[in-house]
Amino acid sequence: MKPIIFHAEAAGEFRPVELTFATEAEVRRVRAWRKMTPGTDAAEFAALAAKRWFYYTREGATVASLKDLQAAVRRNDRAELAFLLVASADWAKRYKFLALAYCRRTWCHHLVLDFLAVRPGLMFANQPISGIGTGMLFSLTGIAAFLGIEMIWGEATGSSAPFYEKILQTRPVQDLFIIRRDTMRGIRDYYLTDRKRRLAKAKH
Amino acid sequence: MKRKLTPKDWLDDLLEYERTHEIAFASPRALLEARMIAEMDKARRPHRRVHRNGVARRRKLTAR
Repeated sequence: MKPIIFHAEAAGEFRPVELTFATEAEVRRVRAWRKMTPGTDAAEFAALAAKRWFYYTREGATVASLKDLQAAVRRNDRAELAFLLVASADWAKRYKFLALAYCRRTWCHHLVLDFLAVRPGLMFANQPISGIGTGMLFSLTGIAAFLGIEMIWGEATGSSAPFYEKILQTRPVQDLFIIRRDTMRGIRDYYLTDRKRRLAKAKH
Repeated sequence: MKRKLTPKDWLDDLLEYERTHEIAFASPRALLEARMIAEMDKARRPHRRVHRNGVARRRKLTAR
């Protein structure tokens, strides 16, 4: 599979961000977000997601690449496997990681999004970086499509529901958000259509 | 996904949302589990002896 790339808006331009499966060293870097001051939810969630990843790794229930995930599912099609995705960008090297998503492939081949956190206060050329959360979700739909996964779901909260309502263009999102295959396709179509337009506009 | 907005409006809306809101979401169940794991780890970690000023450290007894 090609590198997983999405785009984020930074200083008026749409710039590429790469999403990768975290290895142990990368999970340790993510865990270091807890040292950021002032403390934020994103920092707490990053540290807890890392904690969870290490716990599941001790149990042999994590994967650190798409290939590992496919191989593990081939060995046991009912395997419950967790992985941590981290986003980084060459143009924003001062931040090792821009965001993370902790996901689980369930026994029945669905994808659960447990944690989604964008590093707070991301700036480029003195302007906020935006679109990382949307790009992460877009990329998850691509991973799901690649793996033949029919459903992405997760628990929503008062703070996350408005974001999922916007992504899914549906209201209200309550305790759960569910993204089925046709909705995944809809998100990808919308994202790719507008990304193409933005990148073309930037060239002129 | 019900297509109500154009792709441009949809992404503009999301970019604006992300500019003004922190994206830090956790499933309540996952959060609870992670906090329990953190507590378990803390309990499992060996307690460090606190060496306060003015308190002599214990020495191992040596065979005489």
